Amino acid sequence: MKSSRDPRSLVARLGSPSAIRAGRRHASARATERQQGRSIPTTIGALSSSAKAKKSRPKKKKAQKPNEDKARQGVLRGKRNWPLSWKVPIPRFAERIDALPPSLKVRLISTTFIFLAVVIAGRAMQLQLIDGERYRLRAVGQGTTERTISGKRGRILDRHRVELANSVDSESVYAERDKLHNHKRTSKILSSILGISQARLAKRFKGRGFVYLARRVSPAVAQAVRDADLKGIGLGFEPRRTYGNIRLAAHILGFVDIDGVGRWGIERTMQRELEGRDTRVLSITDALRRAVWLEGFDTKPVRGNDVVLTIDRQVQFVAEEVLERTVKAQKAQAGVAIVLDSPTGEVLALASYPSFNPNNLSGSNSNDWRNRGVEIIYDPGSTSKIVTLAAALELEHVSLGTLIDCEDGEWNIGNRRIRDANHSFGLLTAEEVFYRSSNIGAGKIGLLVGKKNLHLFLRKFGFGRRTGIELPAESAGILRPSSRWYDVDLVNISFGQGLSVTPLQVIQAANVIANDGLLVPPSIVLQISGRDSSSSKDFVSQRAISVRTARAVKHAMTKVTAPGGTALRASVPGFVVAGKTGTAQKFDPQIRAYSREKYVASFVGFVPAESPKVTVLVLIDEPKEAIYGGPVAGPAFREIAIAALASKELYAAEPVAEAWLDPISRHSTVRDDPKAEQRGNPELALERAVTELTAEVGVSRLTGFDPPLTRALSDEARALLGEALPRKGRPRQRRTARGKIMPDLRGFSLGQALDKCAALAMEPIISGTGKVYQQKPRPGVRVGAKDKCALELRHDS
Amino acid sequence: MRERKGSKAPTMMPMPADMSAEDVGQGVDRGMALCAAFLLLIGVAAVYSGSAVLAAERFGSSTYFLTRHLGAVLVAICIIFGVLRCPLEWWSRVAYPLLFVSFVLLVITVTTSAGSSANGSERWLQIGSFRFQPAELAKFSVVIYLAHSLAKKREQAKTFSMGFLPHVGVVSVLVCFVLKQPDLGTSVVIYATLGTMLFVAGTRTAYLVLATLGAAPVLLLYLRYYPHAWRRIQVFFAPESDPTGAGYQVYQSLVAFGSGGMFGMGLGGGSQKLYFLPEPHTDLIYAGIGQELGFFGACSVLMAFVLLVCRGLTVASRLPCRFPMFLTFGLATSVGIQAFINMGVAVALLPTKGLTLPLVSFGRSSMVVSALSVGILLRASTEEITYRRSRGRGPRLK
Repeated sequence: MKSSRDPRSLVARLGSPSAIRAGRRHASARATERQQGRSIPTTIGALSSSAKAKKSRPKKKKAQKPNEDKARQGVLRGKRNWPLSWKVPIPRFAERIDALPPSLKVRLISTTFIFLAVVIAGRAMQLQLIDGERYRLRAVGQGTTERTISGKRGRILDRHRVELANSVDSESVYAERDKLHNHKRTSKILSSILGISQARLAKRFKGRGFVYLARRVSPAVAQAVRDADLKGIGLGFEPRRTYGNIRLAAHILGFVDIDGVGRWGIERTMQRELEGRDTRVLSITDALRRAVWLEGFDTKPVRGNDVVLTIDRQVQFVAEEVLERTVKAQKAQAGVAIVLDSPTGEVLALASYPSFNPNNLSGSNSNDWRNRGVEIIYDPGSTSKIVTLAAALELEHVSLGTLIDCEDGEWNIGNRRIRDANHSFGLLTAEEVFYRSSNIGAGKIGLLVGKKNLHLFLRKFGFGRRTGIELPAESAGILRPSSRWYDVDLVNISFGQGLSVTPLQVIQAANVIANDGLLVPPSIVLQISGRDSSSSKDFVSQRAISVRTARAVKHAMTKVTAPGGTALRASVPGFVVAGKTGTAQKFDPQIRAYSREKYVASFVGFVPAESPKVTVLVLIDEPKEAIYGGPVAGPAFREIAIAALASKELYAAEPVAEAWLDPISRHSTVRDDPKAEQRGNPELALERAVTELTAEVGVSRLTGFDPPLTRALSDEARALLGEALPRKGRPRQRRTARGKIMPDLRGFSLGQALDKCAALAMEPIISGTGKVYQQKPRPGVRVGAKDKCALELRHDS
Repeated sequence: MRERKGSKAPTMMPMPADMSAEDVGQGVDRGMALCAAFLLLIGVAAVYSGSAVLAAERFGSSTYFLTRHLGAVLVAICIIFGVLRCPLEWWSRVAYPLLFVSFVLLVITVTTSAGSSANGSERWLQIGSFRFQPAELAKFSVVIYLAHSLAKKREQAKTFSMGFLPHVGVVSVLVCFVLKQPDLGTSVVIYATLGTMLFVAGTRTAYLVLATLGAAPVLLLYLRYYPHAWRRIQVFFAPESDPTGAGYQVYQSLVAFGSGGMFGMGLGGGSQKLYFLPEPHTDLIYAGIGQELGFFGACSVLMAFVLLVCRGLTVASRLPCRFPMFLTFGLATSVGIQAFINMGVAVALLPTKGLTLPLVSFGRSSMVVSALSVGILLRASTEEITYRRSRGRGPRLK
């Protein structure tokens, strides 16, 4: 209160309604003002001070009211001790405002509006100019989301661009648990749709946030969930990897995990190529988190590259089918079948048994997932004699015709006794050592070659290191450095015991011979989205041995499938097959020695021998019905080779002479039939070439064990080149002396064996029961009619 | 103080009531007309920008709201020109009929199923395909009634028994029904208008203050009765405490308005209308304008309202007769209060109310009533100019 007046008189004046009324009616407002020594404020500034006074009213006015209404001025007057100095001005101001003319009251109101506008503008300034950036960030933050649009995973195709693996859109059912309504009802309905128990669903519903209930459900289930329209239950797209050929090539293709990342097989090794590139796009979203506008959407999600495999689906199918049949027939543990395109090393088929269904992993155990073709390591057995022979020939320690004393089937070396299984060979040429698979002979050749050189050639043939094929978990095998070989090791390794190899290494080594001495690393990826795969671009084949040596070994290998060889059953009608059997003892970790019961029977070979097109390996792990590579793996080889040749349109295209159809009579027919030569039979041409070759190399007679001595002898022998030549003809002479060749009856049932004997007009002498275990004469020996044939039968355990 | 009007007004007979259309030719207040036009224009743009996505989503056509709004604007312009030709005194004749109609419609809306609901409250009355909000009409008719009644009662308007009580009573009865809908916003506007009109008419400030205090417990009771309104008050004081729940509207409104910055994101460029901002084309249109046109846009809209209202108030203060003066004053105040409450809500100075921004927001009932109000304001300015000219730039009230 500015004016210092007697409060009592003020109260008297303002407190009396009659006085006020009088003042209003008669005395003009101006007069009143004058009396009070003040003029009514007319300026805005003055008015706003009144407005402030008006604002401060509410609290204090309450006490004032009864006084005014009842007009009992005495009440106030009587109470002098009231703090009138601040009580009084209130009614006075109110009265003064009341006393304003309407036009000024209007101005008062409009001033209030302007004041409010200033407040709002101030607030706007605070929000937009001072805190603007903060709110802008929030608006941007809640209005945009970075989304990743995942590109689709690439396909996997076979060499003829047939789809082996593809991704299809599928939906997953998820729950947003904070939004769930009525757990019980939801779980009941979902349980019937998804086939998950209610209890399990209820468990899933516990907690907060997002949870998957079922991933990659079928379209029907997805639709059912959609139709149920349950709150808090949603469907999201997730691509599902499908393998249209079910189990076919499962080990090669591998599989992806639940998030679509390749975890096995080509899916794993080619993950980088196959995976669709995710494109991160900034999208403006509405409050419902739906994309409204995608910024920079022109960057399309990149679909993963298609990987074209070298696999031929047809061959793969046959390989798997034959392998499974063979493994089951042999009551074996496992098996491998590999088909290579000989010149390029491209894998046409790679079958591993047991197999699995990559579409449904839960139905298989992880042991089935193993791709035995590249993973398992085993002692190759006789198949490694290819290297031994090649090394010896390359180093010119032996020629094919070199005679080797095979010690009549039992050879003591150091403190070890080496036997030739079921044979008792005397003198054999190096070639015979090979195709009759004499361990003693091979051991002696190995001694001739020496540790260092044998190791060197084993390396050259690709053993002891990975082939580099585009498959995961490839093993390098175990090839100890030669410095750590004992003498016994040298002999053992010469016939394939004491080193560990993978099936793929073995077929790679055999393929060296098929490629005239070039080591062609196997590959399984042909192209990636149209461009040649990097591996085939970098493809460098290394020369392991000379062409000449390779041809000589090839010649020896053709004998394997010829009568007298160990794998007559591997022969393919109409073709000359070059190959090698292998029967290796498995190392039994329990007895820490080579097992006498567990074998790995294998056959590796290529066809046609004269210009190899396909190289095939069949390996049967722990066969029970028979143990030897020839009878166990041979027939499987034949079937797979036929399928592979057919895929090359070679098999049906080649005219097959009647005489060639019988594998037993084939070789003799060829040899005895001059017409065959006239036809320009490639095999004969090959044989001629080999004969010439061996003539050059010369012959050495191995008599003793002392390597330096043998070396000296061989040198000597080389000096006496022409002299040794006549001896080479010995096996042939023996062959021509009799009529037919004793077939390999081992593994045959009694009935089959008797049929064969009858066909040869031989007189069987049977002992024991079960299947043929041993026979006399040995397979490949020339037999005449009326000869006796002793068959020992056994039950394989 | 030249208390010309205070003493003479009662006896001074209104401006020639027979003032004809030709007199209107003397011009309207250009500033006011421009403000109204500006607001209508901004409104069209903002409604389209705010509603396009919503409309496309809900009705399959992004122009669903725009076409309807444009129709409403057209009607509004027609109304404004129509009202311009209608002497202010004429409105006193329809004061009671309008009040009666409003009352009946409100009763129908609240008591029968004819009222259709939106956002949980029954505000619309459906008659055939015609749908409107009786509360808007009530707001308008209350002003006319008050102007008429206060002018008629002259000095008695200042008394408690003749001035204060009957008006407050009548308006309260109407407001009861508005509150029942519940439409707190419109109720507040009506009461605030009532208060200012009574204040200007000479009712003692003390009565008004006491009445306000007396209403406070009633308001509290009301808020308790409608918990969602109570919740709105709560989140008003802590808008960021519950940004996804009850505070969502306030929070999003703040984010929208604040993110506009100095010049905004450009018309149509705002992101908040993408379902973040509830009612981006009606109640919270000012927040949308703030985001898209920034501080400048928001301030120009604010300025337009201030100009419109203050010009209206000035015109009112210059009018020589009581009824036109009260009428003009009441309508200007009512439009101003509603606009300021709406803008105050958008900048989170006030708790959320379901109020439209006059002339700008989508809402056909609101648009019609706003047009009526603005039309009357413009007519008042015409009459004021005519009056001034007839007096030869005669005495000003200042």
